[in-house]
Amino acid sequence: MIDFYHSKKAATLTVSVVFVVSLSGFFMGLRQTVRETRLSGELSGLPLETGEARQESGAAPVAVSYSQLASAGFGPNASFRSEMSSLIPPQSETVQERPEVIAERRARRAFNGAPPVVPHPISQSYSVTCLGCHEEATRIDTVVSPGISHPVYQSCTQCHVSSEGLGTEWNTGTYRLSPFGQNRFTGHHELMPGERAYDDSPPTIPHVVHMRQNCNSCHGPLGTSPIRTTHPERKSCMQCHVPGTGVEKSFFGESPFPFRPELIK
Amino acid sequence: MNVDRRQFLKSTAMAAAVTAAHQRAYGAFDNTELSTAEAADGLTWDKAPCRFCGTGCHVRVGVKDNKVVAIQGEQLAEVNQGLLCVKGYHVGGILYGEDRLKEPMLRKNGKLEKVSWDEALEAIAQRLYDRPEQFAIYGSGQWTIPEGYSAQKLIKGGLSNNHIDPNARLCMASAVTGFLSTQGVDEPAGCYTDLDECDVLIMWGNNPAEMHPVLFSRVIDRRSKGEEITLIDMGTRRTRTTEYCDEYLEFRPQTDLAIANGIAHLLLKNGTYDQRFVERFCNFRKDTDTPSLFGEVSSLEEYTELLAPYTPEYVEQLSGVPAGKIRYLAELFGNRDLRITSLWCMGVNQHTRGTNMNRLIHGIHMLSGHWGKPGDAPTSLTGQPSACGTAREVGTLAHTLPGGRLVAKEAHRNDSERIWNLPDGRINPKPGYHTIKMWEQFCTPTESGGDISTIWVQVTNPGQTLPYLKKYFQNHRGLKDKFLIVSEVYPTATTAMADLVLPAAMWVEKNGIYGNSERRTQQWFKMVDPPGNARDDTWMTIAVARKLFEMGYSGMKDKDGEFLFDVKDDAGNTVPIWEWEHYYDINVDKTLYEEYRAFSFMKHKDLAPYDVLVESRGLRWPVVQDANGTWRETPFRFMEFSDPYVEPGKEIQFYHSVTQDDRGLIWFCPYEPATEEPDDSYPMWLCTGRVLEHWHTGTMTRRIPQLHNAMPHAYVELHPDDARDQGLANGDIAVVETRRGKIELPVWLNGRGHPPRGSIFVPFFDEHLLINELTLGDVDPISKEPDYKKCAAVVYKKPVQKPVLEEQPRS
Repeated sequence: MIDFYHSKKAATLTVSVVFVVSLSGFFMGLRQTVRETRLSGELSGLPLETGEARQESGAAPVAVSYSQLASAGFGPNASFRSEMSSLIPPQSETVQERPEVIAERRARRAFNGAPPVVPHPISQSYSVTCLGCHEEATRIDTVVSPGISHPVYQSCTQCHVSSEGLGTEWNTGTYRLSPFGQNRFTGHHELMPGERAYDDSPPTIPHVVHMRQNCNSCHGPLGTSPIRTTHPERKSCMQCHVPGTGVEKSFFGESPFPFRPELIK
Repeated sequence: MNVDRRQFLKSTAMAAAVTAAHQRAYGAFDNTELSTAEAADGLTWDKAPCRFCGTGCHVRVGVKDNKVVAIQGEQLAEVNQGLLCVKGYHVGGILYGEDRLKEPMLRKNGKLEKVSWDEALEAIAQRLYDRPEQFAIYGSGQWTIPEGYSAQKLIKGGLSNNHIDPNARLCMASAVTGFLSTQGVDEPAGCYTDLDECDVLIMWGNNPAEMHPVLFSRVIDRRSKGEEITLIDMGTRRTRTTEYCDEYLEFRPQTDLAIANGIAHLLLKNGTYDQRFVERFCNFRKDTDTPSLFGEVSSLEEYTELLAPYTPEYVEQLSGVPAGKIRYLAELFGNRDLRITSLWCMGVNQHTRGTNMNRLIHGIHMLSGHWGKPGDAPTSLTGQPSACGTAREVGTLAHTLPGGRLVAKEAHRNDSERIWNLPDGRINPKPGYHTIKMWEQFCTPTESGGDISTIWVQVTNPGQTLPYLKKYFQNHRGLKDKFLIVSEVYPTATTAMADLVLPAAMWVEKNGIYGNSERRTQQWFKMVDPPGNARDDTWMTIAVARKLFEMGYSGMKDKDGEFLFDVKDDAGNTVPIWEWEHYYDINVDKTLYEEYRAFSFMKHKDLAPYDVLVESRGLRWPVVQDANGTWRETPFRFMEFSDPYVEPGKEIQFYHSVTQDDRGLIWFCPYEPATEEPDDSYPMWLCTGRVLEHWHTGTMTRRIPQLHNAMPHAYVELHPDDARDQGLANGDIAVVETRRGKIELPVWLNGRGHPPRGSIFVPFFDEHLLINELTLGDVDPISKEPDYKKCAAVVYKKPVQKPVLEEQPRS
């Protein structure tokens, strides 16, 4: 009786182990695609030379049975190119130096105060898509998309245009995007220094705040390192930082009339 | 998610507003003890209106070492409140394209060769002296007021010839005839404040998100501030404006006439029209068989009867807009609790029934009483910085004299002769040729009756903008006796065919005054020197006049024998302003403007004195001095609460009314088909227009790298299904063909605009891809403005694909 009982229990155990293993094996097998099987171990070898089954342009691929899937040679088509090598390598926690930041800033603006151009192609169909990434500052690995600095204004493409032509839908292959002619405009790029009343006092704001109402856009946790705030937990920036006196004088404020009295005769 | 986003935006917008208010309240923060950094950036800042569109944004121009180096939106300007568009921010770059024209050039043996200013002026003066009656001036809404005024005085007061017309004829002539035939006097009654106050904004064939971006932001920014506003886009293709709209009503081209009539029909049928407004302030008119400016007297009864056929179902059948949406529009207009503003620009004006369409929009607003309160306004926009100031107010048109006067009216001629101190009868009573006629005569051989032999083009580019370019521009090539003079800043499609090219100073390289879309006159001073030998347009006009004077041409003398443009200094001595080195010895702009100001009072378009303009960021006329000596502008015209010329108690007074009883006119004008509609051979509608980045022909904006990179070349937009039918994919080269010609253009699908099936769009900024070789030359019978928005075309794939955008050498 006892032996019989034990042997029955062992048999049940064995059957259930076999069942679980085969079931999970089956699902694991389902999960692993042909692509993964082929790619594992040869990632660096892109593009894949898959040979005979590649379809020439126009014709639809022929369906094959499951048993033939592995050898069917599905893979990248003739136009596939790997862009992996052109991706910017990760540089975790880079500290950009001030000159570097300023140079980048200049490259995207005609002058200090001009709306920066967009350094990537944009969707021309729906300009509101800008806010998808720029509504709040976003970081994907080392790429930061700055948050909008003037949230009141939302017709983004009114002022910010792409420096890369007509955009993502456009096949630019056949067209030469040559400059129409050189332009000798030299923008004023000099930045004004901030001021401190005494050591350790909060520095003044060395630029106009018009169009830069959201300080976090540049100075927030995702801002460029030389001008990033040291105290992101404090939210009311202008409690302590006010526009410097030079700023108001040379830019806006209640400007007096006439501007150039010597010209009124 | 969506709610979160809205909340986030609202809260940040609120925070920003608080910051701004804080800054306003505490001004310059002068409570700080910091040392002042005087002119810390080393720039000199001065004010100017933007050089581009009719919005009239004020910019702050930063100058260093005689160069413009920075631009800012003027925060204290009411028009733009600190905001600009991408063109405005980069406007400083227009001065510095490397191919600026710097020397006069005369065509000798087929080639343009450098000549001295003196030789150039002699050449012009001699032609004028020999054949003054065959001379024409083709100017523009980009002329400053003194430029247009001096050209006007030279030709009408000096040469007794009325062949002067501005490119504004191609742009807002139908808006002018629309205002004249409803209000009795030109230009909008309302102003941009209507955009801040309206609950509903209806855009009639209008794309302000790209064409008047700052005004469009002024509306949509209200949403960020928590206000509710309904935006309705009525158009023939989806645009960037459509993205922001609550309703998009797509109509078949030309059927805007039917939609307007459909709304009026329902207002009457449902009794929701404003009976009190109509009884107090309106008369009725109807279009005549032969179209005329003032039509035929009508009545409310006849008006109702004539509108009877325009049921929502009939309108749907014509326009494709569902009957339910026509009812929706009529309900909006029937609701007196809402404030409704209509906006329109080229979609309505560049229309073979443009005058009628303008009348109908005014009519719906008056019929429904959505007129005469802030936010309740039919608001017509202009495309050029001084279309209103120079073309309309100075009256640089073939049939007008300054200040709303007509050459055909003896009293008006006498008035002008008095102000100009001319002998009686100097001004010719026969109107000159309007734009299309002028160029047709220029392109017709003299022996076949082409009685215009010399045209002087100033501040515009007809070689790219005239419709049906072959007929109206290019055909003059090779005709003997014809001579084309072009004052320009860069080489263009027009200078390429010119016989004499004069290099011009532009924008802040000279003094100037512009008048924007809301009757605002804006002044600026010269800030930097023009390059090389480029000189002011006003100077060129005066210098030519002086040459003629010295040659003994009697028309250049006033009735006392003095030079037409004689300017005296404080000591009473003549300043020789015709000599360039003395031109800036005195402010010529101020002298001419003050003389012109005398013309402005007859039609109650009183302009502010020059010195008052200097101290303002533009003032809206009539500008009237009140009892304590302050000059007061008029934001809302004909309305008692704002306009000093409205008699007390009248509430609304059309004081230049056609019927002379202070009432406006509500017009009936029928729907009529377009003059060229698609058929089997040409099955598509072709529409042309502008894009955000480029202004008009791109002469200035295409030389700005930021703008050029964003919009490098023209394209044809079409519906993906139409493209599929033709085997066209994005980037393929298509041939676009009309009865007038064909060009090759790259295809753009699902791009910025989305035309419906059976219709295509091509922008006109690209001088290498001249779409105006294909457009229709047909004009509105009253305003003589051509239709650029509708003609029949066919699109097909170019057999062999080749790049088309290699730059073509200029001749």
